[in-house]
Amino acid sequence: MTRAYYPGCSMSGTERAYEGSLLAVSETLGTGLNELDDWNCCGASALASVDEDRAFALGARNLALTESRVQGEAPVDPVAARTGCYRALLEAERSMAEQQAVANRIDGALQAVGLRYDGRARVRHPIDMVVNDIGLERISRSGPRDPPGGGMKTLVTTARAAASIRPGFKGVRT
Amino acid sequence: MDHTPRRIIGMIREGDREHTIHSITPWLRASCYSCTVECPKQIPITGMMHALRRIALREQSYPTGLPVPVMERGFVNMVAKRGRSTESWLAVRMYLKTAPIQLVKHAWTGQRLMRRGRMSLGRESVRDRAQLMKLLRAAETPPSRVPTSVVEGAR
Repeated sequence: MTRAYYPGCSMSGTERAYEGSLLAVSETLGTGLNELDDWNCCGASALASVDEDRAFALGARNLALTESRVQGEAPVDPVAARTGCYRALLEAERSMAEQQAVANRIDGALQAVGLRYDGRARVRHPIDMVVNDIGLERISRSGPRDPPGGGMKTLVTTARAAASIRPGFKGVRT
Repeated sequence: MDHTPRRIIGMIREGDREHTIHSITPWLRASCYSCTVECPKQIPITGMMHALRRIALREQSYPTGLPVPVMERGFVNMVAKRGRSTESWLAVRMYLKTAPIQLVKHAWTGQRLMRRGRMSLGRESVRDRAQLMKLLRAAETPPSRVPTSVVEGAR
């Protein structure tokens, strides 16, 4: 499983503690998270309130950059740490998958700048990754013994922001 | 909030366009998606509120004196130009335009955040800003095809 870490604009600022915990836990669990090169802002809910297509284009650029990490057909998962980023990227991914007209427009915009999105990049949330890829059993068996910087407890408490555990959100089955 | 979401939906169904697009309700909602998830009729309420914001911005009928539209505009401009947002600049800009006195009030918090390395004045950006701007220009929705489908769907 190839992954890319999508930090978003606040992880190196006000959410520094969360980033420290996430990266420390990731290293202990060997998730292979490393930062997506030259990522851009997901647009948050503000851009969706102004122009949906531009919001999708921002998301699609990140998805395209993630895909360019792995050649071929293999899936590659961008892990969006912040709930708002996760939601915005997921909305872009889903809208393109479900609405051909949206996909055509966004593909065209990506093409204009020499980028391409095949649909291999599937947005994931850290909690989703920890629960569904790594598994609670493995964590309780060999889990991190609170690495410096916070560890699992901090990761879970900060990552569980309101909107991330919505049942309608793909992949998050906690 | 001047009208509850339930009432906004009622107003749309009744065709009360004028009051709907001038309502401050869409600007006060947090986009937390609780309503969309809880709604027994699967109405995408958050998406509906975003659609109302888009219509209000387009027709310049958004409420004045609220910080949200100011911050949203600042955020969108910043991201469209630089590809990333910088929280400190966003906050300063919003307060300057809405309530400068708040800057003085929050100066101490800002200074503490900076001391802890949780806020900086360095402006974030993607490497190739021209490429990003080109992408956004290519994706921009032309005025002739403005998506209001969510609101239309509620009727």
